[in-house]
Order: sequence, then structure tokens, then C-alpha cells
Amino acid sequence: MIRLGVDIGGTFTDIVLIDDDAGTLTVAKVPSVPADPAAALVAAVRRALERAGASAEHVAMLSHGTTIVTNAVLEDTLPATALVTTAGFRDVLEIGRHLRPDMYDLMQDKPRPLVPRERRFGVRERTAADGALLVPLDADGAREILDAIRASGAQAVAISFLHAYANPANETAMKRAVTAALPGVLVAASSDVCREIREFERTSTVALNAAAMPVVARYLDALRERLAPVLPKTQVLLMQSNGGSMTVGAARQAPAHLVYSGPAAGVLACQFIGRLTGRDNVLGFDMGGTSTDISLVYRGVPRMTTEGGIGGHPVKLPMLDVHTIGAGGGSIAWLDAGDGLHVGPRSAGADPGPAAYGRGGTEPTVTDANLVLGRLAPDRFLGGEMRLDRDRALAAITERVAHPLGLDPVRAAWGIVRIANANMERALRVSSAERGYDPRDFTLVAFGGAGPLHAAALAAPVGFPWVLVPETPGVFSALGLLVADIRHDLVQSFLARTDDVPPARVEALFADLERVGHELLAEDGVAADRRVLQRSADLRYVGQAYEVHVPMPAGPLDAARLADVTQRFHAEHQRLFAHSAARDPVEIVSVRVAAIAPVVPPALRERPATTTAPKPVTRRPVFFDELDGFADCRVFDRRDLGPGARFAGPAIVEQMDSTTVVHPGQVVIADGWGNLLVAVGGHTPA
Amino acid sequence: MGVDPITFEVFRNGLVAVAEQMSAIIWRTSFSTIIREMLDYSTAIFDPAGRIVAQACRIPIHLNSMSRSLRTALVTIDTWRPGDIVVMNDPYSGGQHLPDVQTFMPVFVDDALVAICGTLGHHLDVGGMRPGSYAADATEIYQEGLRLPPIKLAENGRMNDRLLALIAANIRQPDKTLGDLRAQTAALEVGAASVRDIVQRYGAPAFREYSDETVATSERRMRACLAAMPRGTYAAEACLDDDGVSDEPVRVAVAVTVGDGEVTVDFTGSSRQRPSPINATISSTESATYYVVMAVADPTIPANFGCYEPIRVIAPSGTVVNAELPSPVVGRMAITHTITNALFAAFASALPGRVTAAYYGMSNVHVLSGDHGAGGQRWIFVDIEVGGWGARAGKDGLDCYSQGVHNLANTPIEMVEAVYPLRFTQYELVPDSGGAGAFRGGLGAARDIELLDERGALYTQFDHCKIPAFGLFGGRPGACADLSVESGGRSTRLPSKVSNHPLRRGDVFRMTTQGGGGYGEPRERDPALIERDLREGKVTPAAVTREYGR
Repeated sequence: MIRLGVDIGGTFTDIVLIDDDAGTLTVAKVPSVPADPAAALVAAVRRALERAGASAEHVAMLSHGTTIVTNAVLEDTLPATALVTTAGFRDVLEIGRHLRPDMYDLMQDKPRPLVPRERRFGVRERTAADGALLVPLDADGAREILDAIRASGAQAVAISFLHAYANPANETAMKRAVTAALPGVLVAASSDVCREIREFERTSTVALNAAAMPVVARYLDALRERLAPVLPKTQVLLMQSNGGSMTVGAARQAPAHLVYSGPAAGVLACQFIGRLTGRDNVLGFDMGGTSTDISLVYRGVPRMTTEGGIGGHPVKLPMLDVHTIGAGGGSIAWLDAGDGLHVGPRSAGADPGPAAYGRGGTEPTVTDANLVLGRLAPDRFLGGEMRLDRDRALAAITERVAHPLGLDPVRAAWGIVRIANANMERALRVSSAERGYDPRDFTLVAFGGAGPLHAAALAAPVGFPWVLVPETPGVFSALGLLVADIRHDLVQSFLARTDDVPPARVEALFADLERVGHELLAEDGVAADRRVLQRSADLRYVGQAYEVHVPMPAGPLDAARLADVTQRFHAEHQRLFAHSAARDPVEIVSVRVAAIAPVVPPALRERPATTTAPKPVTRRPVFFDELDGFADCRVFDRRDLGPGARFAGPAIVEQMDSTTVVHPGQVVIADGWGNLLVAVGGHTPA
Repeated sequence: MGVDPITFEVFRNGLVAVAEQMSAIIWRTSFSTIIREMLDYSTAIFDPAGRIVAQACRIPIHLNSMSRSLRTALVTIDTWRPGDIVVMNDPYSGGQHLPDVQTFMPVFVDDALVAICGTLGHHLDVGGMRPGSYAADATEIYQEGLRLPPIKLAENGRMNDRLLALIAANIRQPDKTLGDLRAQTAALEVGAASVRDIVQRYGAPAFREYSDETVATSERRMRACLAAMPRGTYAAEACLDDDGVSDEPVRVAVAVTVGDGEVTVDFTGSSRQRPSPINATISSTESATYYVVMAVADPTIPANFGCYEPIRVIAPSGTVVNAELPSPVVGRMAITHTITNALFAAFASALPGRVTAAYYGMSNVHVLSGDHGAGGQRWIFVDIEVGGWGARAGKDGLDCYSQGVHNLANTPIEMVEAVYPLRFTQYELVPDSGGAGAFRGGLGAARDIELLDERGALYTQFDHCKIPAFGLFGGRPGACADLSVESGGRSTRLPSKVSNHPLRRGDVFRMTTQGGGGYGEPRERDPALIERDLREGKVTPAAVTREYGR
């Protein structure tokens, strides 16, 4: 059986092919085609099959990450959409929560609502918080609205009624009316997408979902057409923001789950490599050209959030908690009015790119600084396919940073790397220690083109004992696509105190969600014995506003298990916030079920140790602050580092898609899975 | 300067990160809706002299305010030991109003005091004559709640249980208040540990040096900005409708004098203090002034004590901007919003592109309460609604969005209805409420709430029901706020400030909030913008004819 994972990025489309029978893995990279992403996908598939010498007939599954929804939102190209709300509340989407992101800026703007006011309509209907139907849907009013929607030319309709999470009857009636009256128009109700309390966030989620439906439908049609001749029998899956994959049918209905399809794959790859190498706790550090994504896997489970959003629009769906900061290889170094040195968030991107690219960039970037410090080699970048110009890098740094600050250019380059590192170090702390996770229990997994350049320097001050650099850091994310389970996240808001709710009521809610989960997996073609249903709940102290997510114990909910959950909540609150109150009343806000069809993990084979003392391909001077300047440093070719290879820093490891910096005092060992493990200091690898 | 610029930058960001880390603990776990939805809390790191070095400040009204309190505490409490925590809330010891409970913890490394961590949170209730400690009819601070001058809440790592019992005995919802105090304490401990880590990384002498340099750098930058402003004296004033007791408007007069790298803001001519809680202590007045100067000068200067050094505030005592004991002060936001609008108007003549026309200008507090909530319990619902932004050079004012000295979130309607016997019947933008102009003022909102409990009471503290938000450079004023209660088919208009107004089941409290002022002459408005507003129903055809002559 052959499986394909395709990660469609802005610049490159990466593919990973796994042949389960042979236990081998093949990777390839082709340029992306932003106007027609499906074309690049097909090109990547052909390239990988050719390289692996495999036949299309054996490809059972193709999973892919897509930025199609992300880009449509960020570039403001979503199609015209209408919104129907409870009468009197059509502006909830525009008023939002009032909170301005910048305290001082008097020229700031508010995010433009996903649906403009002229396409927002209120209809008479009302449901109470407990689900009681107070006013049934006004059929005459609904008809008038349907006429107005038809006239507006909307391609999609979102429906969001107050308290529809508690009783979707009115939304369902409205949806039926839309479907009957407006053939060809796609429709989504909030109760289909997100049965969760808080009207603005839910309305924003369903509006985004509806607006993305036509976009995703068109893309999937194009994909089917292009793929059919190449892979006629292959099941196609898409990566969701929650780290699960979804079938094409599910994606057409719930495209809001695709907003962070791209970064999610990297998180799954970290989880997979952690599992493979016996590391339960890993922190993913994915540093690219413009930004760095940080994610966390604790006890084998990636950390999730339900408070995500995109472009200022909340998306109230569970998603992998990826912390993104504007620091990458292309991040520009600049001085503020007080001569304070900053790096990013502005980036030189791929064009003009860093000054060293020689394409007209004059502002110094992190890549320029790494070049000046000898960490990158002018003639060995991207396996020698691209030449870097050290003189240009030096000139940019001298002119923009060193000269104004009265520093020597090398010190200035070191300053740029330090500031960039400090930004990333801060983000790593926020993602680990400040959330109650002890970095000493974690391995930092460094990937993306620039991740391995910086990771070893960051690990020590934050407290990570190990850095893991996977075999192909540049295409590592695509591997995650192959290990994603099919997944549906279901939620039902239900406010009740744990000390007085009958456990049977809560059990009934869980059972209901599980029934829906079984139905959805059945639609995906998953056999009953392959389904896993996981329960969890959001709890808080009575009177608080933010919930803490707690997994439920296995088995039907009874008084003892409910008490157990309450205990877990106290413990989690203590871990997250450094205080708790065991005697205070606790309430449930939402119950959740994840309906999962676990994927069979790729059967990779560990290679036995062979080499021990690898030979460097060259030596060059590289700057290390610890050594007070440039030191003659060994440079290894990654291909020479077979299982068991072992050496000490300072050293540089070069490969086609990345460069790894090993600092003085650090020891590296290559494992049997193709990874480099860097022991960060204070200890040596066993 | 002996400090290395790179290390300095890393240090300065590191200290802000500590304040942020403390801030997250308080915000995520707070019981006080005022802390978590109105972001009425703050965390900071001070040097041993009490100067603020790094602050995680969510709303401008807290800028530097803790520094004044801490410096009082440093004078009144002479021994600070490891494991001590000082608590205080007294507006006449440097605070702003009683609900803001501040806590401070000294950080020692090798027996030397290196820094002090501080937190401030607006608590749900600190006692006094009215629930929520918002008494519109208070005439003295003694009616507003429990007053705590600086006092040790913990000594040597042990909490003072008797003090906690005393606090609990004087407030209405002791569980919640003590819970929030616990979060403030947890934040201090986490913050102190992180500060110690930083000291260990750099060494105590370097820590001191970097911390001084952090303050000095901000001061240099602020002076440079002020030096670049056109010199001169710029005067303006802004008024509140009334103080809730008499009908006489309350005036805030400002004269801003820009000198060489410094600015003096003189409030002489402002109204005498009033026997109602709209007064501000000097700490509130300073914070509002600092906010406006930061916003028009350069918002990117790292906020700390140094930013405020070049700003001189003259506020005659006994006026609404520098009230004397025993004036009540809980509603001091009324004055601070007015200060902000007056200062925008004053700076408009010097820097027309850096200010906005007047915004809604009030924290529109409304409190509904009743006796028979869930489980037959007494309930209190407190919320604040905002209105439209003032229009700006080149941009319309934002519709129904937080502006000025506060920054707050509304409470989700579904969450309110799930917890309180209330039902909302409307929440929409109000067409034509933004002041006309080349750039239109932001729209206010209409929000209507029906009482489902048998009986209830309404408390409001609104303003600008008579005096609207003014426009600039020919822009028209925004629409006034309007309050009414609909009962049995009859609608009764309310004054802006009511206390204990009785409600019965089925009564609907309706509020319409203030629109922002316009900017520039209406006839200069781009017809495409008028078209867009018409299409979106944000202005009506009648108003377009009336205001824009089309």
C-alpha cells in the first residue's frame, strides 16, 4: 500500500510518499501554482511516484494540507454571502466584542465583517437559553428575506439564531426554506457547525463556513477532475485545523475546519516523530522564511484551543494550538527612533529576499546575519543551487545596524541573531513554561528551512535538554499528513453545576453526540469496529468566564466519575494558573466528543547503528559568542551521518533543505530513524 | 551608556514578558466580570524606588497609576521582607477608586531588594451602600466601601487570615473577591520567581543598570517627540451633562503648553468637586493625561515611568480633576473620558492629523438586579456599553467600538441569558447617530433588555444625553444617548443617572448609546462613502438630504 502526503505552501508544494510494504519514505518538492493549486499537487504526485518507482494503482490514500480557505479569508476574496439572524440582532457580527487590539493607535481599523450589513437579515423567531422554543420561525418574514437574498446575488447563506446550540429547530426550518427556495446556493446553520454558547463567536464561525463553501466546492471539483486520470482509485483526504483529516464530502459541508490546514500537518509530524522515538512530550519549532510556528505535544497528545481565529474573525472550533510569531529567516532587522534594535515582523519574503540574495534587497535580515556569522555558507545554500552574497549581507548590516549603533559589523550580525532568538525564546516560554509545562520534560523538534539553524541556541536558556532535527526538516510537515486520523469534533454547550446536575443528564448529552459521531464516520465509510469516540468537557469555577478543557474518564458517567472529572479540573487549573480552590463550586459549560477513525501508522524501519565517527566535508570559521568570536569549525554533510554517528560541537551540518548549528559543548548523535539528536548541555547522550 | 544595546533590548522585553505572564493568570481565572470583560486590571514590575519599569496594562486609565500607590506604600510601610505582600485600595493614598485592589510583593535576591511586583484588579464588590460598590447617590467616600490604606496581607510567606476575615466581613460576595485576590497573589509569586531568574541571569548590578536605562530610554524618546511638536499653548474644554445630583454641567478645562521636550497640562478652570461620585483623584487625572500624550506623541515608546517624566499636570485641588477627601470617586471614569475628549480637542489645533473628534465619552454603566435568580438567589448584572468613535483625518469613526481611556468587551447575550433572568430584545447599530462630516462619526448602539424576574431594580450611570460628542473642523456632533423603560405598553424616558429605579416583570430597559463626532465639513464627504452608508443603512436618505444637502 502506498500513501501520499502533499503540503501545498505558498512557494513550494512538498510531497511525502510512504510505501508501507517496503517501509520506505520518498520526498519531493515542486513549485506551487497559486492560481491553480491542484495542478502543482498533480505534478508533485507524478514526481514522487516516478522517484519511488511506484505505480499509481497502489496508492490507497492521498492526504493534503491546503491554504485555500486561509488565503481566501486573508486576501478578502470570499464570495458574496448572506446572513440570517434573530430579528434585532443582525449587527452582532459587526459589533463583535468591542475590544480594540491596540490601546493607543487612533488610526486603527476594525476587522471588516465577513458579511456586510446590506446582506444581513433579521427574522422573527426566538429560543430561550434552556432550549425552550419561545417564537417559532416567522414563515412570511423568512420568505421576504429569501427574495432579498436572491436579489443580492449571494452564493452562500449562513444562519445564526440566538441559543440555536440549545435547540436548532428554528435554524433547521430556516435552512430548509433556503434550500427549497434558492437552489444552487450553499447554506450552513450555526447548529450544524458549532453548537456552542456565545453568539458573536458562533455567528462569525458559521459566516466564515458558509462563505468558504463555494470556494472549497470549486477547488474540490477542480481537484477531482485533475486527479481522476492520475489516481482514479485513491481516497482523498484533507487536513483540518484540529489535526484530523476529513473526507472530501465532509470538507464541502464544514470548510471552516480548514483554516489552519497548513500548520496542522507540522504538529502531527512532531507527534509522530515523538511516538516513533519514544518521546511523549515534544515542542514543535517550525521556522520558515517569514514566520515561526510553535506547537506542543504533551503525553502524546497535541495541545488544542477553541479560541482561535483568522484575520480578526473568531473561529469557534477546536484547532491545534499553534503559536505563530513574525520571525523567520527573511525577517528584517531595523532600528526604532530610540536606536532600539528590532527584528521583524516585516519580512523581505522570497522577493527581493535577504540582501544576500542579490535581488535588490538592501535591508538586513536574519539570513544575512547568519551568513556573516559563517553559519550559512555562500556557496552551499540549498545544496549549492543558490549563491549567497556575503558582501551584500555585510554592507546591509553595516549600513543599517552596525554604523548607527557604533558596533562592529560582526557584533551587529550577532545582535540581530540574538534579538531574533530572544523573540523566539519568549514565544517558546509562552508556549511551555508559562502554560505550566516544564521544558525539561520536552524535546524541541526543529524543522522548516531555518529551524535547525537556531534551535540549539534556544534550547539551553529555555531549558529543553534535547533538540531533534528530523531527516528532512524542509519537508517534514508533509509527513504529518500521513499520520492524521479521520476526525470529527462535536460539541454541545450545556451549563450545569457538577455538584447538582444528575449525571444521567450529562450522560444523555454525551450519548447523543456519540450517536452523531457514529453517523458521520459511517458516512465517511469507516466500519464500526474502527471507530474511536473520545469524551471531554469544558469546566470552570462558577462565576468565571473562561473554561478549562478536561478529558473524561472512560465509561458511562455516574456520580463517582463526575466527581473524578471535577478533581481533574482543580488539578488542571492549578497547573495552568498556579492556584485552585478545591471547595468552590464547578460548572460544566460544554461537553465534547471527538469521533475518530485512527489511521494505521506508517511502518518505518529503524536502521542499526553503523558509523560512529563521521568525517567532516570541510572546515570554516563560524562565529560563536561562547568562544568570543570566530572558531574553526567542522562542517558535516547530512548524508554522511548514518545511524550511530556521533560528534561534538561546535559544528555545522549541511543538507539540501536546511543547515543545523551545533554549539560548543553540545553533543550530536544520529539515531536509526534518520534524526539528529542534539544534547543541549550539561549532559551527554546515553 | 555602559550597557550593551543588544542585551538591553533582550532585558527590556524579558521584563515586559514577566508582567504579561502575571497578567494572563489574573485574566483567565477572574471571577470579576469587570476584570475579564472590561480588562480593568494591570500588572507591573517596579524598581525599589517605586518607579514603574515594565507594565502589562490593558486599559490606559491604569498608566502609571500603581506607581503613585506604591510610592505611598513605600513611605508608610518601612520594612519590606521576603514573602511579604502589601494590599491597598485607598484613592486618597494614590489609588483611583475603592474597587481597584492593588497588591505588591518585594523581590529579594541575596537579602537585597531588587524589584517589586504589583497587580491591580477591579473587584466585584468592596462593600458600601450599594451592590457592586457603585453608589450613584454617594456623597462621601465612606459610603463607597471598605477603605484600605497600605497594609500587609502576607508576612514572611504567611497570609494574614485576620485581615482576610475583616475584608470578607465587609463585602457582599466574599468568595469571589477572595478568589480574585488569590489569583493576584498567585500572579505576584509567579512574577517574583521570574524576576529572580532574570536577576540571576544578568547579576544584580546589571539588573539595576538595565532597569535604570529602560526608564531613561523611554524618557529620552518622549522628550524627543515633544520637542518635535509645534510650541504653544492650546486650550479646550469638554463637559458632562450633569453630576447626577444637580443639573449643572460639569466642565473640564485644559490648557496644554508644549515646551522644549516637555508638556504642561493645566486643568485650572475645571468645575469644583461635586457631592456625587463623578470626581477623580489626581491619579486618575494623570493617567488620562498620560494616555492622550502617549497616543498623540508616539504609542511605540515602551511604557514606563520615563514616558511620564516630561509631562507636568497642574490640577487645582478641590476640583473634579483633583478631588479632596471625603469626595466620593467611584464613577471617576466620567471625568477621565471628558479629560480625554478635551485633550484631543486641545491637541487638534497643534496636530490635527493625530487626534479624533469627540467619542462617546462615557463608561455607560448599567446594573440590573433582582431577588429571585437561579436557585432563588439574589442577582446583580453589571455591564457597560460603548458608542461610536470620533471621526479622524482621513477615516470615519469606528462604529460601536471601545475608545479612549478604557478598552472593554461586551458580555455575550447568550451567557447573560443563561445565568440571569433577563432577555435581550435588540442589539443593533443606530442609523444616523454618527456626526456628519467629511469623515463620519462612529455609530452608537441600541441594546434592549427585558426583565424576567418578578421585580428588579435598575441603576444607570450614563451621560451625554444632553450634550453630544462634538465634531472637529466643521464636523457635526454625534447623536445623544437615550434611556427609557417600556412598561405595559408605555414608554418612560429616564435621566442619564438613576439609582434603584424599580422594574417589574416584562419591563424593557432600552438604551441608545452616543454616536461619535464628525471630522471636517459634511459637504466635503466623498459621495462614494455616502453611497456605501446608504447601502448599508448606516445613514437614512432623509439624513443625507438634511446633513449633506443631497
